[in-house]
Amino acid sequence: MSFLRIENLSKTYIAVQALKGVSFEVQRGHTHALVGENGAGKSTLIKILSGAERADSGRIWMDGKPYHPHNPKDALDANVSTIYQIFNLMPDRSIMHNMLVGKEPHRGGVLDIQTMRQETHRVLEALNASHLKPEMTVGLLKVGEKQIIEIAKALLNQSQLMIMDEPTSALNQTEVDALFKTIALLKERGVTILYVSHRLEEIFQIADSITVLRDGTHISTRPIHEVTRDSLVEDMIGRKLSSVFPPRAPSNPDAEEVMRVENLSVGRVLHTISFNLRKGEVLAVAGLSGSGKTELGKALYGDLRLSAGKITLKGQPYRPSPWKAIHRQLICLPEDRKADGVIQGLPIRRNITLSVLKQISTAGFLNLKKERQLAGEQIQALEIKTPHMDQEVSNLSGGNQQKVALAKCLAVHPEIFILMEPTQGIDVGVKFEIYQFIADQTTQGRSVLLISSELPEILGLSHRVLVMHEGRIVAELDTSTTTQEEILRYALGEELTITDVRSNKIHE
Amino acid sequence: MSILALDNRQDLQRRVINIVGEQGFIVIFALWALYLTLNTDNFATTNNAFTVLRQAAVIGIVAIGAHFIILLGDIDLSSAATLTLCGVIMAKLMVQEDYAPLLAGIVTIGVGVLIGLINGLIITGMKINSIITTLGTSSVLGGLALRQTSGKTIAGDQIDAIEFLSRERLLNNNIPLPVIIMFVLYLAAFIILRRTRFGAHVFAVGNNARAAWLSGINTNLVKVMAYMLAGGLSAFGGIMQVARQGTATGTMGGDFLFPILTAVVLGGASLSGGRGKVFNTLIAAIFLTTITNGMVLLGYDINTQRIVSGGILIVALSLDRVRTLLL
Amino acid sequence: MKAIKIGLILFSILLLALPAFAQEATEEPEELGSAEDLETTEEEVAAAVEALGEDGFIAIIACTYSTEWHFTVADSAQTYAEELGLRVEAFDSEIDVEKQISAIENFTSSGADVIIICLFDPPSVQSALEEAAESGIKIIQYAGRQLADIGGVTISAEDEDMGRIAGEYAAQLINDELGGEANVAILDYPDIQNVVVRADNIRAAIEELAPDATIVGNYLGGTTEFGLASMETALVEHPEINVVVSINDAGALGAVQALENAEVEDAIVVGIDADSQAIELIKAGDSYYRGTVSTVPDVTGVMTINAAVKVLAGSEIPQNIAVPVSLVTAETLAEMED
Repeated sequence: MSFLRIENLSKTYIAVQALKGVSFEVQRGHTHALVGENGAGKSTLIKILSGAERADSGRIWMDGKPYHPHNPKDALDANVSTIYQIFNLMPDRSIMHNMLVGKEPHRGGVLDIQTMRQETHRVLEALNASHLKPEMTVGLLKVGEKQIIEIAKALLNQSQLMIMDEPTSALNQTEVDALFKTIALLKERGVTILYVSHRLEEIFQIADSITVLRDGTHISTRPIHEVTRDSLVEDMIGRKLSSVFPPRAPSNPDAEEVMRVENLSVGRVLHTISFNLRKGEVLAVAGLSGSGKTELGKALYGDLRLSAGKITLKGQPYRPSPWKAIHRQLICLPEDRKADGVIQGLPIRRNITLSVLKQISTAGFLNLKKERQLAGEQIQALEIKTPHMDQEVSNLSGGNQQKVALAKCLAVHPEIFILMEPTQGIDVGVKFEIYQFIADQTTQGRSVLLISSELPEILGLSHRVLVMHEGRIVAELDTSTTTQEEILRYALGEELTITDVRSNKIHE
Repeated sequence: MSILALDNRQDLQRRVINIVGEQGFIVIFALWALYLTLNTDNFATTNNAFTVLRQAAVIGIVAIGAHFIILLGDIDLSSAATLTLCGVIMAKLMVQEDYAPLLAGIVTIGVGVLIGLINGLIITGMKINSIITTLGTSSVLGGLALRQTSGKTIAGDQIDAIEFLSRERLLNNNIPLPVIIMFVLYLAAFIILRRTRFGAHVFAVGNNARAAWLSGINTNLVKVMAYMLAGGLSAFGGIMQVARQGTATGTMGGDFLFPILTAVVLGGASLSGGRGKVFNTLIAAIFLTTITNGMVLLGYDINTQRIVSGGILIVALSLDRVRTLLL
Repeated sequence: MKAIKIGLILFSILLLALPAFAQEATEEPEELGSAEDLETTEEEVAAAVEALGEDGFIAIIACTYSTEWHFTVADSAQTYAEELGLRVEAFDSEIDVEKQISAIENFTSSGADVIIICLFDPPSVQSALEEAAESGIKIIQYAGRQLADIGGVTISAEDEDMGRIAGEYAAQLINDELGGEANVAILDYPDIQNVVVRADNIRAAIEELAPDATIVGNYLGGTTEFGLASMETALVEHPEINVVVSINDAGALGAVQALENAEVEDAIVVGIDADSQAIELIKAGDSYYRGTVSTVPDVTGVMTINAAVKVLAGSEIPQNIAVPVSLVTAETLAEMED
């Protein structure tokens, strides 16, 4: 018999239906993945299960009993815990105080520290995390460790169902591995896990079964062995995968050189970087984190001070700074979209026109009509989903925020785009639109420096690939003849004695 | 389409909370005004209304500059000291150096702008926190003002030449000139903030200076210009105050800093920058004046006045906390 | 039940705290000495010079040099001491507690015999002064009486006297010029305890000497802007106000401005402090300003040095000494010019 049964669940917010009669079942002890694009209804479903929202209609059974939490406390009482992306921990208190908050063992009002320590230790040990001592202050822990504490807290509460909402979004690889080990241990203890994630690789690694939602409807629930990566993505976006990467503009080795970088160095992070970028080309920069690829993007835009090197744009020297770059029709899409790419508190319209306010003003006075017109064009061109251009950007979903950031770049009519991790943390549908955007721009003769950690994206979009390792370019590869494995090998620094490295000064 | 659903709902919730945070003090103001109208004979008279507005003028004008600085996420603690020093300079130039009023006024405002420039350059160039910088300049300026006056009151018939700034009534001899000046400056500030590139840059920098910089905005220049504007307005406030009291002393602005900053914060401008309506600052400045005005009309003794005005302020200011807590 | 218990506990704490809110009973000051008690003889001066010896000196620590009054006190004390052949060192605290404390410490270690000091924040410098007193330095305070507790001599004008004299003069004008009937506003500044005494005595004098005058109320003054704003509003409610008595001249100057703005025909303004601008207006005679009260800073300065001489010479003097205060009016100013 199934552990969790959801039957015909519906939920409507002001005229828009977020869940449309969703039904599926989750087996006891399974790690059950829940996937779907942003807006598919995942978060609404989670909110209902954790008691933060109430469904309009439909029924839920847990362990054969009806389960309809009215508030988060009901959920906790029914042994359902939710582990959010942002932790609800008290940073200044110790692990044991955090884990036992509200139910501290005491004798006549005096905390029983001994028991607290034992209880905490017992749970941490069960999660194979006995390196975390009950007395440690939570604020000093790493993100991954904090997550373990959240899980341990849930375990201490005898949770039968744990809902994990994008648990790996802030973790590095080691921490992800540790989390997966923890999940395996939870599974041994018979805990059922509802796992929400954008990262399909992870799902294949840990899930037993998988449910796909799209536009508030239930698409499929299948055991993991019946699902392939392609079928999953097709379920999510509702179209055939063959069209994920749009056809790229033909490569033209004779095209005009729009940017040339010679012997660029930045402190200890970049060493004698040299390359060129041609008109209509997508030049990808690949590398592991810490390879210097992010720093390269920042340095070209003036966000890091150059210690040496020469940059020319269309033959004219260029000293990087954001306003000079924009003046020279070079624009950068920052890596941290939320913090750097858009200004959350400003309306969409103003975000889009922020870099070109000069063009829409006369003698310092803004022409708001022109601003609306310009923003409207961009919103339409990039299909930004918003009821109104006066909305603050903070009200938009991640994917739409990224589109606003792109629209802002596009508004300056750049010849060169530096796109830093343009699809990071964005759901599949918008990813596709961004790929299409890149292809369109290059077809129109613009050039893109694509700095990305996603190899499929690099292979699917670029003409050439620069591979970075420890602050140097270790290989320049032709995308049409290279493979993921080859790029990875260079990125790992395994094979330095290669012939087709352009700037092979490393060996001198 | 659930994105939109969530957006709408959250948006509605946010909007309500924002309105309470930004405009809630107006409700308190209205209640207070209603109470005064019912309980005093003279609150709701034109005469008293103009008295209140005239009293609000100097603080209101200087608060415009403070509003710009708070929009940038900074705080200018030197506005009152700038007002004092510039008032003293204005009076001295006219009384002791026999400058023509216009020339003295231009020099005085120039000094104010220069003070703003120095503040701005220290804050942007040396990357020193605005509170610390302006606390420092405030103490220097206060010391200079005292030194300039050696503790004496500067007065003289020459000052009569600018008394029209405080006493003149325009529009059929009805509306006091300082009130008109205040409203005109607020209108100008509103236009600058909402309709000019500089204003757009102020909001952008205040919201997220780094993102603004990455968008090609010269954030340092924006800050320096805002400080210069604030300095110039403080200087003008100093001139208005000299015109109002007919004298200048080395401590004349000493009690102004608190109401200036309170007006901006009470008006709902967020201390972390990027959010605030300049007309709300005006209304708040007027509100602050009616608190003391009303208390005198009610005939409360001075100590009760302090307790009640403190209470009203706490209630009005706590509305802003509601916003920060819920958002 | 729990809520009731907590309520009870809070209530009893409140009850225990109540006495703190009660008005503190003002202690009757002891017998005050006068300027005469400080008259020095040549023998005493010689003894004082001898007591100072080779390296001893008298330290003067002023509150500030940036107001006329304070500067005059320190300056006249210094000049007078030099005339007598006593070594003095003067210091400007610039109304900065830290500066004042380090000045006390420095003078203590550099061998001062007497410290003449003006305090603006007595509790903060109390311990530094106690230390100085323990090391044998004689302390003389002017413009305040807080140091009597640690055995210092205090030389100060009495706020009581100032308030009374201002009130008496106002009452006299009311009786002579307004036939005894007037509507009086008092400008107050209740943040400072001493000033409350002034306001109370202004009120008492008017009530006693001009019983038919109506005191409309106390309003916030203290600075020109407060005096101006309060009187503007007060005149809205009470346009009949025709006499303003202020606890200081700064507030009174604001009142003059407010009366002018309201175009009041005839009014009487009396202040305290003998501010130069107030004196100008009184002398000019065409303003509402009729009188102020001087606390004679030059006399205060001389008195502090005389007290120092007496203390150094080992003569007996009263611990608390009153500085004479005098009324300044157009008449007294004319007399002075003659």
